[in-house]
Amino acid sequence: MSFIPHTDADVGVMLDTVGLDSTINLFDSIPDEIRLDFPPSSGVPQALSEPELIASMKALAGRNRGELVCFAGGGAYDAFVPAAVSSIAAKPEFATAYTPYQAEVSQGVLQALFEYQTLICRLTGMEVANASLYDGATALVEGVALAAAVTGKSKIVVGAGLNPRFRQVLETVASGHSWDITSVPLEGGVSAWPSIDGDVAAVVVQHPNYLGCLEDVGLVTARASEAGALSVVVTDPISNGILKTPGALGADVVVGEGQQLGGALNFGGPYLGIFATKDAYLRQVPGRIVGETVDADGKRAYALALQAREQHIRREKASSNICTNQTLMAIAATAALAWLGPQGLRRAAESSSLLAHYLADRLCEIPGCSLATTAPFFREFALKLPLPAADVIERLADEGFLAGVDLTGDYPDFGDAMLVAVTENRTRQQADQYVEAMNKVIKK
Amino acid sequence: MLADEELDLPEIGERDLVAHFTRLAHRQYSVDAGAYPLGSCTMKYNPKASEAVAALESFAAAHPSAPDSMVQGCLEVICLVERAICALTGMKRATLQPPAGAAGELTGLLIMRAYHDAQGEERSKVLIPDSAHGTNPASVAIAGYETVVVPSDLEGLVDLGEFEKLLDDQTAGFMLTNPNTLGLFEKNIKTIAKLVHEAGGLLYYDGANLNAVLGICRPGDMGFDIVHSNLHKTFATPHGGGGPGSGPVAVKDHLVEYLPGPLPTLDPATGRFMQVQPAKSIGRVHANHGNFAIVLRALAYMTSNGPEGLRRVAEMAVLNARYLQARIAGAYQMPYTGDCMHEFVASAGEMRRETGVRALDVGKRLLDKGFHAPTVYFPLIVDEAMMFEPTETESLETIDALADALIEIAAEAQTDPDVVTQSPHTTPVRRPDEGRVSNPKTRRLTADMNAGR
Ligand SMILES: Cc1ncc(COP(=O)(O)O)c(C=O)c1O
Repeated sequence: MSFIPHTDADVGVMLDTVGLDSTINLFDSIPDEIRLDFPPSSGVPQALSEPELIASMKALAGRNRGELVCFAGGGAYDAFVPAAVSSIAAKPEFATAYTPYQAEVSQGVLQALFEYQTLICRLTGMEVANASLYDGATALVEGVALAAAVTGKSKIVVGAGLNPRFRQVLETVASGHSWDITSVPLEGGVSAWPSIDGDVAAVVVQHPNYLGCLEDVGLVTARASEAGALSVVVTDPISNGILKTPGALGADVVVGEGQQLGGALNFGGPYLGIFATKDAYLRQVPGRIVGETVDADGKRAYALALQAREQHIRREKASSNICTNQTLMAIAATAALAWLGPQGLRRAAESSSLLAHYLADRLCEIPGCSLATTAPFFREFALKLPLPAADVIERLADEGFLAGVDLTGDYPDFGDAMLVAVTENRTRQQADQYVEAMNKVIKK
Repeated sequence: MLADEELDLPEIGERDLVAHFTRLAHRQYSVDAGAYPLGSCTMKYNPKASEAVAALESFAAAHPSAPDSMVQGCLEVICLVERAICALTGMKRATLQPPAGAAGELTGLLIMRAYHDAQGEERSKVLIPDSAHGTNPASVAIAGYETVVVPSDLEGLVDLGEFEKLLDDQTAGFMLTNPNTLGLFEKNIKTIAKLVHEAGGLLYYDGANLNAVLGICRPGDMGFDIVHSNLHKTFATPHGGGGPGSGPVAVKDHLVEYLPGPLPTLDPATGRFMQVQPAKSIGRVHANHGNFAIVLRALAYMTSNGPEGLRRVAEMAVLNARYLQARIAGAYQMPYTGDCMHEFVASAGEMRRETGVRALDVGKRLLDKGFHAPTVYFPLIVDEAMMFEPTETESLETIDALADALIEIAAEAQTDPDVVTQSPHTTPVRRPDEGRVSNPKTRRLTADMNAGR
């Protein structure tokens, strides 16, 4: 199945116009020694017609356990995506456009991004937001980079409640920046924040943290600011439906994973990197920002703003290297937030939090199961198990559940433990069935 | 800890929400609407079948932390795309974690750094040509290297003499796009590779222009050590209004152990897919497996085309560019005479001096004529640059219509320059004031959501 419209006659006309005999002459400027006579065939899939393609991809999809009811989280959630949001995000006008460099024919994407920035500011309690980054982890890296640039320091203090994968990405990129990362250990599930030294650039706190627990964000932001460091808060957008916003708690930079706003799980991507900060740091903000302006006729219009921060203008002095971002996910998030509204977001946060607490209580009635943390949690909790987590997860799959995320590798102190998450997509009935299945698996 | 007040979010019904976004969509040009010759971006048609594949529920609902046994389909997709990328680029293994080209660049540069570290060497700089995309120097800086710019020669290729002078034992590597951003093939690439390797450096391929050489030649055979490709360009995944993309990084044998982990891999003993940590991995560059749903669309595209079809893609991409260039060569200045590949850069330099019409104006006027504008003012080495990349999915009729429109604009520049400099005339808005959105006194970067709808 090809998407090339040319007929042989077309090709003939075109070759004549450019003065060539054959399409192969199009590549005469490539030295013979590196030219292939045939395209590589081993490794590249053989061509299929559309029905064959769909059948073969369905077969591939069938090799996933697609039927499992999802209680796994850890930064990726089985969120409810309203049909209206899917429909908006699928509009080809948004999906098949590119970066709105030509503002006149890109008002749709530009205005949507402007609205996205507005909603992210409201959601996080911050003053400026960018038009998206790749995902939560890379947004965190950019947040730390901003802090390092603003403070001119290189020490980074990170709570152990940070998503371990975010931490790993941070460490990977740190090698280029020569950042020195130190950890704050957990006590009862939340970081035991020390006082912060004067040579610290950023203090990173995830709230609710990876284990679902609520951190003392106010304490972190106060200590950071006393020490002349910037606080970088990793937020969960849904939690902001009931919790105080990071901005209200004094955050300097707010980053986070926005997948839960209108995005499917998709095996980890494309997701949405949220980035918001204070007006004072606007010049250091990575990525694109859209602003409202007027056009030549005085009409309201939108355009890319402050492009002088970006790589295509400032090159090696740019605030970041990001170019292609996650605009379509930002548009979906905008639609999702507007669809929910303030009450809808609050309900999603409340109902899933209630159900998570119900589930945690019931699971802890099972002999050998208990919470690994003591701090209050939002809608995700670390559950200690009487059996290896990997086995429990494997066996609960046979009962129809993706039971959680194995914590053994990342939090060995807990022993056998897994992270269980409840989203607004889960029901009381599913929770009860999950408990029943867990009972069965553990008694075996 | 609980909020004392409600968040200030819009309160509208679904009907009005849908109407709002439908109105916005009407104010947006896209590939689905028409030709989009935005150079360097490869704005080809995005097949609908790829969307149907991405919508398959068992892919869309797959959790990234599920045990390997429950996501064998996803892991296989990643391995299939990795194999195809390696076959098409002539490399050994690839990571699909980088979520876009720039992220691929950073990944490749961190691999470069890890490689030199392992040799016990500290090298301080990375060379890039003066025609390089802005992400290249920005990525170099983030990877902790200093950028050294290599000038282009009169033909628009890397100036070999200058290059040799800049290359030394402090050079960690050289980043190059081939064909380069002028759309010209760097024919001395084997010599360049030899020189880089003799100096102990690595050669990095920015795959933004891979569409030009798919199935025709391979970066691996040219001597590149690290290659990133852009699935959102070459493999027809939709650009999403600015993203998401996907920027896999492929490497030769000697760099496989540094790739980001985990690396989905087929276990030949069991026939199952698993995740492996390369021995000296630089670590993760994405929290999960990268932009999986984009990778999946790329697989659908590759499978639709097959090896022969992909080679045909390169042929028609180059033919379309060559033909468009030939059609407008009488109307626009072509600063480089070499045969273009999948794109070419014209200049409005002379036009500006004669008529006052700039590259920007030509682009805006093209919007009136129903097309998207070319990339303007990149690469930086061309005065009043206009970079055209028609892509292979545009028909002869469309290319002819585009050429006619461009020729008309060149004529207008002579006869009625105001109509061009005042353009566009037919779009929903005209020349938004960009100064205003950057000026601290006038800028508005967020707004009252319920106002002015
Ligand atoms: C030559 C070149 N290099 C690198 C990039 C960066 O790729 P991305 O936007 O996917 O990060 C681009 C993108 O436009 C490009 O044209």
